[in-house]
Amino acid sequence: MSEFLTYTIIGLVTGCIYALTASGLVVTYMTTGILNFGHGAVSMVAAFAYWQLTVEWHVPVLVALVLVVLIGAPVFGALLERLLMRPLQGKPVELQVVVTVGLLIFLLGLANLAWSPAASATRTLPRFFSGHSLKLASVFVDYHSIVVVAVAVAVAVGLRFFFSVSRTGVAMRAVVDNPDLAAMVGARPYRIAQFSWALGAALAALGGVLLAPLQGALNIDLLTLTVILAIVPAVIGRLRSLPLTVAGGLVIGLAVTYAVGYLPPNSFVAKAQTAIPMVILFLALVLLRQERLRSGRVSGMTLARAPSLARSLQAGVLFIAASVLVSELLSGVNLATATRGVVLGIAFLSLVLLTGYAGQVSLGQMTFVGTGAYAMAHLGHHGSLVGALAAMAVSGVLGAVVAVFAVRLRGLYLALSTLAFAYAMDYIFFDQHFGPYGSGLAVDRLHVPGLDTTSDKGFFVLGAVIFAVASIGLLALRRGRYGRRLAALNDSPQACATLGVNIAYTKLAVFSASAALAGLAGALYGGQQHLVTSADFQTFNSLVLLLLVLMGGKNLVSGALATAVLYALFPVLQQHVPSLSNVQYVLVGLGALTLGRYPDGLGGHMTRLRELIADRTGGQTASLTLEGDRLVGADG
Amino acid sequence: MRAEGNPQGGVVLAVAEVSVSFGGIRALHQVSLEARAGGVTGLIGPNGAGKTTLFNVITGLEKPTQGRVGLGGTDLSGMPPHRRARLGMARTFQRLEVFGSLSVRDNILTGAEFHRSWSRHADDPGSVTEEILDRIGLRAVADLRVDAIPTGMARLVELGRALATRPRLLLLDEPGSGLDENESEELGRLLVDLGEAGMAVLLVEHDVDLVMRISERVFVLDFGRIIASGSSSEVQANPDVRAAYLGTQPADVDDPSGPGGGGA
Amino acid sequence: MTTTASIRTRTGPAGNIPPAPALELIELRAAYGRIEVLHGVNLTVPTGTVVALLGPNGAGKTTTLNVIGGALEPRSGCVHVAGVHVNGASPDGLARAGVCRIPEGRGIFPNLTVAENLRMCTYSAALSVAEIEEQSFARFPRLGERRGQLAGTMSGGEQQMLAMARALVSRPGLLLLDEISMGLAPLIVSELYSLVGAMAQDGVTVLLTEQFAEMAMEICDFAAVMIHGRIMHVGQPQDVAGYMSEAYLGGVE
Repeated sequence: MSEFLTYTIIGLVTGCIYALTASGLVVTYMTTGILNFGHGAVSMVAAFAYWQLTVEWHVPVLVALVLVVLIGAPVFGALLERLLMRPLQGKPVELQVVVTVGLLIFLLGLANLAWSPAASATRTLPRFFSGHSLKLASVFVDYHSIVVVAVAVAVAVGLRFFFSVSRTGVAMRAVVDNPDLAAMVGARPYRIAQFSWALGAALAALGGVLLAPLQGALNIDLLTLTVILAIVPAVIGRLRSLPLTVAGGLVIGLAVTYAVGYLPPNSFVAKAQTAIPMVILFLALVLLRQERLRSGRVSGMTLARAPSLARSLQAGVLFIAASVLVSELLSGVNLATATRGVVLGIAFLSLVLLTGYAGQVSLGQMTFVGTGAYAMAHLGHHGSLVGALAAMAVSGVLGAVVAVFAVRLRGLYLALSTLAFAYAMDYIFFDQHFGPYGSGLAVDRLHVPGLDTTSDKGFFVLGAVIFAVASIGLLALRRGRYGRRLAALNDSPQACATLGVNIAYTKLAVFSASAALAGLAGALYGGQQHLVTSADFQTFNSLVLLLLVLMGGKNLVSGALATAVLYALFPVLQQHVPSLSNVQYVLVGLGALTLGRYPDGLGGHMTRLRELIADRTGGQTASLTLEGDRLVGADG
Repeated sequence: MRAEGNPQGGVVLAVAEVSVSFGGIRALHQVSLEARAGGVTGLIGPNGAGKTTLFNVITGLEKPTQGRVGLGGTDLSGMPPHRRARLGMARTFQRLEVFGSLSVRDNILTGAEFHRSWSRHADDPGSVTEEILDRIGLRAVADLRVDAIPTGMARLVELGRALATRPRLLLLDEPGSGLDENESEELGRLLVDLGEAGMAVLLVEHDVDLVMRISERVFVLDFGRIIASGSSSEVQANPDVRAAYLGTQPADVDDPSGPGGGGA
Repeated sequence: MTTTASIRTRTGPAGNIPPAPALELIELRAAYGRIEVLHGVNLTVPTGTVVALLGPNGAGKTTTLNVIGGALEPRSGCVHVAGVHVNGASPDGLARAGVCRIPEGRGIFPNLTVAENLRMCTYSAALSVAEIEEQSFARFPRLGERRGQLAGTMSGGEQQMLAMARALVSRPGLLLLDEISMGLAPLIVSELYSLVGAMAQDGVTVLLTEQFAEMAMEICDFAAVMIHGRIMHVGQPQDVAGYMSEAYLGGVE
């Protein structure tokens, strides 16, 4: 009995923290329509800042609390709204997701720079009123837990009061009801959005400061990941209901704690208990009401024209020739980096197909890369082609299975369902099956006749050839019937449905094809690394992957290559310049943040540049221009 | 069902007592209408009368709270939009739903390819596309991205794309807006031709002149109800219709005496 | 065909002719995305008058109000409010500056109570919450009875009263009304229009759109008929009536 009570109290305390941070997410989402994936990182930075102030600089606790929760975090939130989120209003959901993911990565990089993980064990935050406890029935409850519950209750009551009594609170609900009318009555929409970001950040900070002492030594990743789980109760609250969100937070807290407490240790379920919130998230999403078909939108993307078959063949041959040359020039680490670049480039291409061409978002693409590597490890002994085919088949089937559930969803909910799937796979699959204690899984290199792929040079050329073939294939697809079908689906699902297209089937097919391509990349990636661990395929890497694809220009094959090579360079940079180890994350984060203003990425800039040059030099083609409403034929 | 003396063919579309409500607001109330093969059926009504909602119900994009829709004798209840389309209906949208990133030609080609993907009787998509380009008169702009052409033309693109699936029932939602007088004249001729070729055309249009000119039969929707139906001249002379459009009371069109009880 | 509509012929209220009309639209063009809806609209609303903008559906009436209210940027042309060029001003800025717009359909927040809806009026009205409630409930006692009720659960007429209460308490310089009669019983419409008439008597300038012309004709000083994004006819209400019937239903009679 007392055991049950203990677990219940721990569960409630954890649940209260989820409820607090999730409320922050919901407040921001409901007034601005943007779900902040960087929310957890804000909590983490706040906890570290609080530690810095109280422990290192001996600032009094109350003063530090005011500085962090009531001043620092709200100001940061307001700045975020002004600088990053305002240009994101009404942009495609993958862009909104990726910019806040950029914020997450940026803050992680910054925190790693400021508070080196090497010294992490020495950083602990004392609990509030540490040493004091209260006896409740047969169980001792420390004051910190009581503080957490009290604060959560106070915040819940306070928010309720705020939303019904204060004018700003009423106005925030008014914005949810009808944003246009809210502006029409004279409420300042941007100021309200800014306020909601400030409030959201303050709640994240509060959650972080309360959570950190419970986790022992301050850990950047653990803090961030814990608070990211606040997405689960937020979705349970449909991203708009605070009471449901609070209830969801408590349910998650209790479920996880009971699972830890009561499941037999060493059982599969006990090992996978960390996945419980994500399984709940996946179920919550799948059970969501089916949404109506989206009507068309103005894409606003600068679409580069797909090059002709002849040109893409030319480019492919040139690329292969260049890679043969490169394989002769490079060696050792540099060659390995280049190989990782082209191999990951294939994974990037899978997102060009899915996100760039078909307009679907996947936050879990690395998972399919991982299952590909797994299949290659088990079925691709001595580089058998069977392994590579199995990698495509396994990942393709898995992609189709996810799609069966996910295609009913769209936009943010689709993205979240792939995220939930990827996270669950991290714990249920990757942490369990990549060698004992994550020691790694050996993968043989794919062998093809006529090429010595056991040598680094040969394997690099193989990777380059497969990348080139995949690129030419994608471009051919884009120019053809299937490419038109995907473009049509992206432009107007409604119109497609009324023209007899089975949208669910089409989406399923493209999800599956994209996953299969990612699986092939995984098989090659495994061979390149020889030994892969679960860390290679963590969800976090999926987020970075999507971010980089968007930075390269989401529908551009060349953009995928450029950013994949950049990605492959990270570890190398780290080796050569250890102090740079986190600067790259800061840089990537900053790059992603600019996407809010320049949604077409690098590729978009390149396309515009090329058009500009063509305009200057060419002009001999007859062009049709519009004057007013009339169409005028003009010779240039 | 009234027996009509006009030369139209059999009933292709039958809408029977369809009602739709959104959160307590009734958008359609017991709407019944039909469209026959071989001619244009007009559907007019003031703003917010529920015309687009009715199209959405017919094509399966919205579920009716009550009532059924039949196509050529097949009950469409519960059928998803793509299966309805495969039975031979196609539509255009009031708020354009073109494939903006594709060229005019590719929009129509895509429609023809979609048709080919589910129909055994489809002709070669390429030749279908060229034929339709000529028919709707957009050959001159065939290679322009649809994002970059004026609305009126984009509406024709939607029409062409719908025709590419060779429908027996064509639902047109305000195809004439954005067209000038000549163009709307041509559109009228095209629709009459389509009717004469045996298609059933249901036309929603705020250019009442156009509707009256080319429709064999006209239905008038007001506040989600059908308030009148009949030939153009019958509908034009109907006092209820004038009331719906002008806000006058039905009984006394010219007499501005005080309003009666609960209105329409 | 000329589309210039000058209704400057009549003087404003008693001997006090202001230097600029309350509203002036000059060659206004506007579009939704690529869809151009207004093709050069010219209209002048003298201070202190009520002008009815009439026309069939799809004519561009609501779009015109969207542009004046700052919800839609014009493609070209000018909007002058009391002589000030206001192109590009935000809807909330205009609201606080005294341009009050009651939108088509429900101009209320359905998930807020009546009292909370009135609270939102404090952004544009110079009155306290108590004064706003007092004036609104005095004019529409039924709102007082439903003070704590969610606005979305009230009848359509009550909702429109609540929307009009904002017009009443914010004492706007320019009142824009979009189809306030839509979907309402004639008795309620006439009650709403008598309020508009009373506000006009107090000197509020009103531009209203109506598809159903009759009620609007009784209180307006001028009527302008809009068809296909252009103003085709302006005149005294009684002159316009005949023109309308033809314009809406085509040549009958």
